[in-house]
Amino acid sequence: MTSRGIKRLIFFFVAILAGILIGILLGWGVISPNRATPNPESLRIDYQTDYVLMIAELYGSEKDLSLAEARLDYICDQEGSLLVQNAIAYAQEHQYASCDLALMLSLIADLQMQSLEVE
Amino acid sequence: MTNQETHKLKIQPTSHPKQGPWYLITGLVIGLLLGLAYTCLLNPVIYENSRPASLSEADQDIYRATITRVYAETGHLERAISRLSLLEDENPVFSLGAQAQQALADENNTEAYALALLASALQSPQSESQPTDTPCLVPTQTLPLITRTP
Repeated sequence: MTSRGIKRLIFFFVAILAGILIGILLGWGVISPNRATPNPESLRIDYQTDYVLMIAELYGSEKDLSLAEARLDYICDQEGSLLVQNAIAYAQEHQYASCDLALMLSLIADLQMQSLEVE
Repeated sequence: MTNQETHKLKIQPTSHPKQGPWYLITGLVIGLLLGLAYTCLLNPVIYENSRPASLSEADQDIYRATITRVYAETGHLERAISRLSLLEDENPVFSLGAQAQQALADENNTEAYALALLASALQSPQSESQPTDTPCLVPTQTLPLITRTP
């Protein structure tokens, strides 16, 4: 290969590297933020805890466990009771009001009771 | 003499063909495609610690509907207002009204009622001057923590 050919090959790979760099900057900086939106599972823990509290408040008056589970699915793709446990831990750590804690504890107790019955 | 010059003119262009920078453009395009494939398919942006206001319209509708259902069940207006503010709607009453109409169109009367109930509560002058005496308010880090045990 001539020296001119080697030079062209080097510039070709430099161009590829420059393209990759531009592609990464475009992909992470421009395209992905515009195309994708955060899903409810990505909510910050205090917002998640407040959402769990809303579900617990509704469960406290409706007493419909399947509806509560369906609402938990909105914010969590894993086990609903795990999310409630995390929410309770956060609520205890941040000294939520006892009435709110009681609602969430009631929800987790019934969720665990149901899972035990299923097993 | 004239014949020799003509001969030279004919030969010169074929002996040194000029090549453009197509190999650079090709390399750049290949790199660009590789970079985009990496960021969009292999390692896409994953959001963490997001706010309710950054959710999609559909998810915000579910969040808003849940807030109104809780308000309809518990009647804690101040807490509902605090939660609604997390969605950062320019006009919360309009958003609630529009969603209530949509729920009515979808024949989801319970949700429509809850949405309309909170919208009317927000519109009434009492909602600003006389907050309801709720036992505990929204306990999020982003809002002032005004918890009060009964």
